[in-house]
Amino acid sequence: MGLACSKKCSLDEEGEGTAPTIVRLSPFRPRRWSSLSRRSLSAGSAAGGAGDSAVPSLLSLAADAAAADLAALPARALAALPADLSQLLLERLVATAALDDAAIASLAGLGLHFFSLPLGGYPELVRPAWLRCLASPSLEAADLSKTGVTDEALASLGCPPRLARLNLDYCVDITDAGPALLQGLTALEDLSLAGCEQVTPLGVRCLAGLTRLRRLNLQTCHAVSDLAALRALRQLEALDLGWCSSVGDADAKALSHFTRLRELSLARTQVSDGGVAHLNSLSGLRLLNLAGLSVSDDALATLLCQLPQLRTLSLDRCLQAGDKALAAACKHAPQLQELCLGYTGVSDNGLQKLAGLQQLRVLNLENCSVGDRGLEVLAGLTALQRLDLSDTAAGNGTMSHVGQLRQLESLNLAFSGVNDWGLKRLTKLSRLRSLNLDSRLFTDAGMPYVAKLASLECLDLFGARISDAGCASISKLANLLRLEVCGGGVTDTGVASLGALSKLQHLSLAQNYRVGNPAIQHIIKLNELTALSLSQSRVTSNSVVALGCLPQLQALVLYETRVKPMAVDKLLAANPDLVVQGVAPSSAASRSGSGAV
Amino acid sequence: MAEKKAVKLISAEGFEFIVDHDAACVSNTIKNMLSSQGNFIENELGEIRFPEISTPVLEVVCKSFYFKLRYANTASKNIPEFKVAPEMALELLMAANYLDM
Repeated sequence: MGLACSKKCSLDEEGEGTAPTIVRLSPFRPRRWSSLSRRSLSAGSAAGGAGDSAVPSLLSLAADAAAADLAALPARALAALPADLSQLLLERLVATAALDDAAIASLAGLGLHFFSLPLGGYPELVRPAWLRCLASPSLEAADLSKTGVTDEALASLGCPPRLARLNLDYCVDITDAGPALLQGLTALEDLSLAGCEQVTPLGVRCLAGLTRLRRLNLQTCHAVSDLAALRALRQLEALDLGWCSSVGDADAKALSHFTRLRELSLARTQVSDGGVAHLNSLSGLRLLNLAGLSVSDDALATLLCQLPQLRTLSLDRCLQAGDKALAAACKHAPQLQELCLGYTGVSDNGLQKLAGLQQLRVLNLENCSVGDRGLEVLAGLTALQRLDLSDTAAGNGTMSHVGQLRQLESLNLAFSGVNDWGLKRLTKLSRLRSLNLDSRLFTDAGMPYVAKLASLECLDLFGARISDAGCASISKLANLLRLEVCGGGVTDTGVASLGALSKLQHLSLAQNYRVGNPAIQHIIKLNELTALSLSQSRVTSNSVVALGCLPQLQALVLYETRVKPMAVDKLLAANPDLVVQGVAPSSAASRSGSGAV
Repeated sequence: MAEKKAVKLISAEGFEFIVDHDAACVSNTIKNMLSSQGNFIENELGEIRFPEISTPVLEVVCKSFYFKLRYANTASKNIPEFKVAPEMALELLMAANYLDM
């Protein structure tokens, strides 16, 4: 019974605009078969079902088998696939990177329907022919970010009447012709053109007719301005204009009409005091990003009195922002959850006002002129999960207060005044997963305290003065995934202790000039390692080749070592997925070293 | 109702596959059909017809019931591969979709 219903009702002749085929329920509508929501899109065939069993479901096995050999499948059977199964097949093809010209040729002309195109970041260029094949009247979402889609390809997409979400981030070849093509997409609710630097005010004007638009992202579109043209977009709830260097006060004035706005970013634009004043009418704002703006403390204070719904506020690098703005925010926006005050003029006196923010989860005070006196207020902020005190005068006194923040998951003490004795106060932070101790004040003496933080996953000891004794302490952190120890004091003995960290994925031992070839045999034990840096160490070619056996290694950094290109050749032969930085391979067909560690 | 009775699954061509109740219930669709709540006639007779599923496909379906039961609690690196013939992939896809397994 179910099978008969799930077949499509008619098999269209190849024609545009003939009798519409009945389109099945899409995954994005509220009512769904519960089974489809349980099918996860995981890489490889180990897609688990609703239960915790590791046995892949028959559905995923069949989808993998079909995706693996698309050309062999009979066209008639393919054409009979219901829409949710053709969607599943497409997702498997994308996940296994099997979608290419040949695959598209197999799928073309069969009248297949797709609901979403999850092509973001696809390793192959998405060509117009692909979009001609994949665009169907049922399309509701398309992620084409970083696919190299051009205006011509966008034209092949046509105007699917139900397309509600379109992501064209970093498709740098898109010009104003692109937005002009989007004019017909009247159902569009979510449009992202971040990084499409060739879009100008002309292109922006083309978007004026998309009255259903609720989210618009124009981040890094340097030429964009003249937002008054968008005044018909009354439904706009989220607008990202970060790094739009042509956006100024006139545009801020135009924004004051968007009364439904909940999220707004004007980071690094040219908006100044005059423009900020216009934002007073946006009383429903929940997220406001004013990072990098040259606005005065008074202007910010006046604005922040009018935004009672604020949950997230960033004044990062607003150099003139200070205690007045902070006081206004704390008094009038008591529901604040995330507050970034990095590089502002906030002082110890101003920090007292934070006491009222009982829901604060994220606080960034990087490079603020604050110290133990002002940071006393932290004791009351028991909901804090992430705290950044880097580059402040925070000292051991503050650590007594921080030690009571039991919800803390991430703590940054780089370049602060805290030393080993401060770490003693932190041992009760059972939820701490990320800890940055990049400071010359931390030494081996503090590491036994760090070792008590059993849930730690990321530990950054970059410049800390850690030697082998410290490594022995660190090796007790069984859950560690990322570790950077680059202070120069580690030797092969230390690396031997670190070999116990079996879950480690990312390890940097750069600048430890006493680490040499004996260390490699310990590093090889770390089966989960994906990224490794041995720059400035004493390892040589003969031992380094052994690293080719690490099954998951993707990045290896070897700047200023004596490793020869021949060793790199051997490594790449053993592990084709590996990217080596710092030493070029000797072969003429050099592999692109564009992967970043 | 006798919980552990065998269940008969009948393919399009009339071939009958007799499997355990627990094995058949790997498929959520069959599980619902056989549960007392449903009042399906299949519940009373203990046999289900699948006029849309051909015999070779139903055979693979039955094999996958037992595969799932056998390796349900094994670590994933120890689970062998369940090979699916490419010729059957699409029919199996449709069957697995209908049977919710």
